[in-house]
Amino acid sequence: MFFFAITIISCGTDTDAGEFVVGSDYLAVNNKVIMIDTVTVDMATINFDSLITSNQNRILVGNYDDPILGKVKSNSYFQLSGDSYTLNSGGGSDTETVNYVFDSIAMILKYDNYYYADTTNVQTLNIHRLTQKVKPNTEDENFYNNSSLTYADESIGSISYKPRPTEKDSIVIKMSDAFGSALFQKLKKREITDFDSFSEYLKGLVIVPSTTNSSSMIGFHVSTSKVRLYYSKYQADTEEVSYILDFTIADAKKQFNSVSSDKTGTLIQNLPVSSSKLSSTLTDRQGFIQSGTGVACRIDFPNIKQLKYISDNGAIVNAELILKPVNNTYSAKYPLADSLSVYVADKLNRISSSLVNSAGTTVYGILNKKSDEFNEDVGYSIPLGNFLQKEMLKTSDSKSSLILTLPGIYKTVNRIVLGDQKHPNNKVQLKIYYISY
Amino acid sequence: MKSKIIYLSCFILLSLTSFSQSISSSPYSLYGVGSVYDSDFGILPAIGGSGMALPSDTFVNNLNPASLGFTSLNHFMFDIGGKAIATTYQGSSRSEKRNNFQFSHMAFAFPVTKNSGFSLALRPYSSAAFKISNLKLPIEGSQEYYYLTAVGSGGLNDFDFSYGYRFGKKLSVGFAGSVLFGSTADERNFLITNTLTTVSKKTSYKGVRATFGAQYKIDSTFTIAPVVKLPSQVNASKVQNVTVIADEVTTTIQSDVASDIDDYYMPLEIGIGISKRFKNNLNMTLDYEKSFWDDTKQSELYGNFVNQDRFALGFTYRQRKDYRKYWDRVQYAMGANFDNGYLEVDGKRVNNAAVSIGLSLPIENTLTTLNISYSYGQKGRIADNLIKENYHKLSLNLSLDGIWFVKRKFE
Repeated sequence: MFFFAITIISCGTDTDAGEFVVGSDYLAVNNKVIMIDTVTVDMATINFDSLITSNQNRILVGNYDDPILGKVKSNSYFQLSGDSYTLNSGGGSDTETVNYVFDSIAMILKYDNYYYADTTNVQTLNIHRLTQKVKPNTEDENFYNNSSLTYADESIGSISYKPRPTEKDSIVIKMSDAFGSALFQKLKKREITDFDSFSEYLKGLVIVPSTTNSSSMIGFHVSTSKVRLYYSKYQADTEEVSYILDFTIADAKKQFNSVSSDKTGTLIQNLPVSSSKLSSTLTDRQGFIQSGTGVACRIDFPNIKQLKYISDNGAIVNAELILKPVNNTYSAKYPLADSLSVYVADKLNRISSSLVNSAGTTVYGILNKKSDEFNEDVGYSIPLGNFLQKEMLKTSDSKSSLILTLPGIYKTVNRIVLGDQKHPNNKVQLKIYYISY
Repeated sequence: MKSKIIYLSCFILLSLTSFSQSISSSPYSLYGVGSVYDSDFGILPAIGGSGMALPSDTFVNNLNPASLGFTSLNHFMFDIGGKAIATTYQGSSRSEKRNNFQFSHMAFAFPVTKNSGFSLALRPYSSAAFKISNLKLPIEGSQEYYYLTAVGSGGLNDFDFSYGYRFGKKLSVGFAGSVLFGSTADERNFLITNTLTTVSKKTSYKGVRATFGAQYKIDSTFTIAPVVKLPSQVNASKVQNVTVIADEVTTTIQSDVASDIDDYYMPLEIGIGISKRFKNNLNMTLDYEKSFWDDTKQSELYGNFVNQDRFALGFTYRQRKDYRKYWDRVQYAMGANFDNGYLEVDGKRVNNAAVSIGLSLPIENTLTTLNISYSYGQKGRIADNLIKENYHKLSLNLSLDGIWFVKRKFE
């Protein structure tokens, strides 16, 4: 009968909390977990042909001389349309129009809080009339950072100011009375009655920064910026009544920024065509990214497939690429972006997709901390375990590259300088977590 | 007799069902094919596991197949046992207690001729049950750590068939074939940075091993018995699944991939045992066995194995005449054993020592006995990466004896 007792209670009486382990070294015999940080990471700078800058909802104007990447300038082109094309649309008979007189005209630009470079320097902006319609030359509907339209030499409005994008609401650019008066007369005489006749008369405007001194790049709202015509009704027996007529950028697709840069004398002055690359070995062990101008950083892992030979069976379970901005290349004037956009591309820099994690969610390079510029730990961390595992197992010879840009690539001019694997202070780090099974 | 047969069938049934559930969870089960069980047949656990020179007359002695040459004619023996083990695991900073009940063995033996016998025995050979929770381990090549959680289960079984033949009155020789079979399952979870990798594998083992033994009676009180177990190869193959959970998505890296792995090698083992009776009622058994693990060139997959020496000593006492009351027929036993272990963990051997006492209680007027034994032992030691197991083992073995092939003279 003893056995009955034994057999009945023999089922699962063990409670093992698993806190006792002997020979932890032995546990690594079957499954080695290793961190590999010696895989080669190649860095290069590439140049995108053109970036779409229309429909970005930002009037980006300004110029500055970047200490690293040379002169940068942005003109902003746009087409206007009137809220209405009749004077005092509020009421009154046509006979009264004879009593309206032109007062003034101005462009009101509303800050959108974007600024870059030195806003303590005076910036001069000029407004010119376009001599061609705001219509793309290309087959698509887009304008690019290298698009441009012809405009008249004569400035019809000018301002020299110190941008205060965070303190002030807007700037007002006084425009020429001759321009305003002529427009007013066209309206008054009902020669302009609708958008077609208006846009035929005023094809568009461009805001051009003066390049005589280095200043800053400022962003203005597209939807709330406007040209405002001031006029009044004149009657002998009563007081003067003031009216306004606004011309806004109603179609954001008809507004674009032409961002140009002059890289002469910089490390990347010989940036090759868009399908090629400039290795960091030729640019002082650095890679560059500049939004707006199309400069991007490319990362290659030439030896990733060799990880297959570490063990018979192994997998990359996680990997982290830590890109470090080079000391003294960023400051309050040239701040670091919070994140980097990461794309997967082929060897000709043709982007196939965003970098994604195993769940298919887009991943970014995240800045670990802003911190002071002497801190070598400031860096962008990109999780790329999923990408590298696939690259390692890829049977074809083709290898994918990563292309890094800043999130505001189409509407900012922020730039960043990253150290490559042999940079003296700010080396890029690749940590691969590998398990053999 | 009838009721006994009913009991017997019940035992068999229950034993078989509990067979698969028997678990012994030890941190040392990580190695090799798991922790190897003692062979606890009949009175053996009470006499420290010694007894190579004992005959299979009152129990099935599977330490030496030659013992079957001394099986009493017309006797049929059935041996079944179970044990309860309470173990305290002691590490440098903490200790933990676990209890475990399990099936020990089941064996039949019967004479073939008047000077030969045959036996069949089935027993769990090893247990690969272990558990590791959230063990912090260094990631090679970095200052970082990963966390391992692992659960092992399963083990090997041993099916023995033995034959012993006696030449004359003094010498018996025997042969045993052991079939080792079974599988171990092992699931390991690696938490590396923010990803969880699970490697789960099932390893199946198959192997056979031969044992030769002899028993020679130098005189009526003194027997000497050599036993040689031949080295053998236990074929191992595994089926493995590997998955990685990253970003809350499970990716399968390997799915039911079968592959051969390094085979497990059993060593050459040479043992010698003696049995000596003093004053007709005190019997001493002494065994020595050496296991040549060094020569097996075991794969590091199984751990680091070293030659083992094992000593076992036992005494039994029984009043041989003047049975006045029941207790006069009871056999008292005690024993001790020591081995220096075949396992080396981080350069330290895992040795084992135990002392035991026991009783053999005869049932009715037959040769059937109930063997009860208690042993206390220690395995391993407290050190870095080693733990000490203090165990109390209670064994209950029933050695049933039926008389076959003879007309019942009286009931």
